[in-house]
Amino acid sequence: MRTNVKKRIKKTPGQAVVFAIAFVIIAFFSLSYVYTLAWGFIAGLNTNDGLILKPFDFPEKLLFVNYVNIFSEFVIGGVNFGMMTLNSLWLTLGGAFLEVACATGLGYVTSKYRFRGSKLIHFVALLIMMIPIYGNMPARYRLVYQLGINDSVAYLITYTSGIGFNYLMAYSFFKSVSWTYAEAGFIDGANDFVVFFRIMLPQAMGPISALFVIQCIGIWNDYQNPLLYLRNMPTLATGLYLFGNEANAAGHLELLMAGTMVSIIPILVLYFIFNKALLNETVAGGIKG
Amino acid sequence: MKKLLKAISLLLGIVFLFGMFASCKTVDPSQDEGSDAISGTVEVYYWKSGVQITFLEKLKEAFESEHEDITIDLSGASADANVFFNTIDQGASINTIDLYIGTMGAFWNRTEYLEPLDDILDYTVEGESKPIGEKISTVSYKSDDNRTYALPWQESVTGLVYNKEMFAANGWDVPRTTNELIDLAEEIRQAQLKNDGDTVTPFIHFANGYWKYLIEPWWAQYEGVEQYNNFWAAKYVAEDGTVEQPSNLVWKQQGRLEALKVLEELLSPDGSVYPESNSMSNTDAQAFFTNGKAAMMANGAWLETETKKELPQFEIMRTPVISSLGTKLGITEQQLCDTVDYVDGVTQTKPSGVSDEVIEQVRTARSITFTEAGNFHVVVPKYSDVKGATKEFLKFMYSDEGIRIMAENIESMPAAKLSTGEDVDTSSWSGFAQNNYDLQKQATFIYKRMNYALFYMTDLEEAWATQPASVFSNSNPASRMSAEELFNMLYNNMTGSRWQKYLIQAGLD
Repeated sequence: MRTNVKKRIKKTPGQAVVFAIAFVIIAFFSLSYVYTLAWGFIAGLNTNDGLILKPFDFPEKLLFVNYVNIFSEFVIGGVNFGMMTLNSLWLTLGGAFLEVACATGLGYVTSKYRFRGSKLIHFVALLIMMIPIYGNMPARYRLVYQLGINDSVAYLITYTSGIGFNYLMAYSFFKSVSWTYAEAGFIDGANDFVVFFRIMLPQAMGPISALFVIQCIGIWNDYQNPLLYLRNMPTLATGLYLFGNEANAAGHLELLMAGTMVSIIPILVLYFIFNKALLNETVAGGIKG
Repeated sequence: MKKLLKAISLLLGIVFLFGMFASCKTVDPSQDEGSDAISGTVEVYYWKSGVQITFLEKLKEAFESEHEDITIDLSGASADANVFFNTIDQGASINTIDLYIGTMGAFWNRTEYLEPLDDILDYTVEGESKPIGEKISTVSYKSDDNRTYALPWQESVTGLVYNKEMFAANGWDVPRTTNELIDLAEEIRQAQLKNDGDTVTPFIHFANGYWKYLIEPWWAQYEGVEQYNNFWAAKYVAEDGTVEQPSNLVWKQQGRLEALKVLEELLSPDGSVYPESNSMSNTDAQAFFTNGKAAMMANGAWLETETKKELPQFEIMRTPVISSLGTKLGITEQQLCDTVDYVDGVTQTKPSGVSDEVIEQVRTARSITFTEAGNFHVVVPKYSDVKGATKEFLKFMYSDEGIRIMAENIESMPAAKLSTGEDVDTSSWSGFAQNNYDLQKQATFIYKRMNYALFYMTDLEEAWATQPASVFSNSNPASRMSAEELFNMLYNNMTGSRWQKYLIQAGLD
């Protein structure tokens, strides 16, 4: 017996007009994004002078070699494009994983367990989010350098606070999950860790994946923090920012454009892999009665 | 197990808690004398501007081959011009830079963090006949305590770059005086030449402009180099010889008005300046210029390296002599032109009716060239832990061997000359660079001097608070000002309570 039949919903004339208008607007909006990406790709095939003099004209000659040259010419402080990509990868994946993992753990514990200080932790987490970033940045800068975790993989430790928007999301989600699941686990002999990893966490995989992808996108695009703390290990975003300043001085705008287009490929791949998790959430049922 | 986990969590919490206090201990960087170690790694910050880093890489290579126990680290080079100001007062615990090579015009208000470099100036490289101080000709960085905290490393030529091919194709002569330049600009406007649909204009510039490379020499031509330098010391010398310092009357030097008048005549007529010049970046304007959209552009010796192109069809002309100097000296425009031809060596015949004294004044005026050497410095943080090694590198950089390496790779004369007095080998240089070297050899350089508190303790970084070029060429006629109006406005900005504010900021009240 088929249980999943799509029924065609008949629209009224008014609804059809609204849908048509909405379709046109969204199509136009989408085309503008596609045009921007296409322009960026074609700009990478142009010359520096061509980009300045006639930025919106099709190049007289398509220089595909620009997309090859970025791997040799795009060098910042002795670090080439490949190394910058590697730096972006470990910082993005490591930072996003630690950030989300710590936030998930902290959100779960403070929402589900009563212990001395749990409310204080929640209060402090909210309070810290209210402090303007310019208030704590100088202190953070000094702390990172005094601890000697700048220009090092150890910088990832700064992603382990567990506090921030991710914590709020995790806290809210776990607050909405019924404790009955856990009780069922305890009855079957599971301890707190088993309940967390095998019962609660799988239910949160949807939102956690979404947070992970969002965090990845944020860290991948962040040029400011690596610029401050990873000067000798520039990421792609930092490299593009610095090269952008130098490209203006060194007459290589075309390499900047080519480098920018290539740099978005990894994050696009990540999005295509995880887009279902971003857009859909699934909840595993398990409660009777 | 639970107790063990609790203990570990508590321990981690304590570690993080103490980590928060890691930055509490501070050492005043201005009291930190660092170390004179003569071995180790010297971390260099280089400002990646129009001058490429290649010369530093070659210097590093040559230096390290002779000094096995010293490594020069160039990985910190960047295009960020503010690194010096953002890092110099942070101290050794955060700032690991041992040598700054870049632009830092207002370093004078940070000399407490800098190492004096007088020992470099007094040092004579083995096999050479002169100390380094005598090889550095242009710029002096003596501070109030008579110590030198910075050295110049580049002596760039600036001026009016013109398109030689365009000039030759249209029969235009290189102007000798500002009146000839004004006439030439009019001729170019009338010609209505086309380039790919655009009308070729006499000039192009960008938002912050490089026109000071013309108006400041014109100002110095009219007033004399000494009076120009007196401006940067806010030193007013009255006709009866009395001296007032600081004095806002330096903003009323007649030479400033004369220079503004010339610029107004050049830029205000419609069609004088390429459209949207006032909103362009320097690289955009340079791209348009080198593609023939304008005949002339105020620029500098770095044009070739900055555009990454060989520019055989471009050249920096010798700065036209301001015609009002002729009036001041009591000679006609024709006599002034003849005198310029004579001092340039175009003719061997002395101009008729012109005294030797006037000829010499015109000769000096003709050679006056603005250089950015006043902005390009080498400084060493006082708290560096390898000051000895850093100074060894600087001694090498200013040795004849270092000078030759720099000249070959910058394609320009560094700020230090060879001890033998001979020219560097320019055979591998481009035509544009060789012409710049010729200009450099005959130049009487003027530069922005920031060593007076009125300038380095305040925001008075330029001689012009408002960009004259954008005022005269503004596309909105209502926003334009005449030269007199701008001149009076710039002076009025330095009177009354505003003048008092600057004096207080500079500690001169």
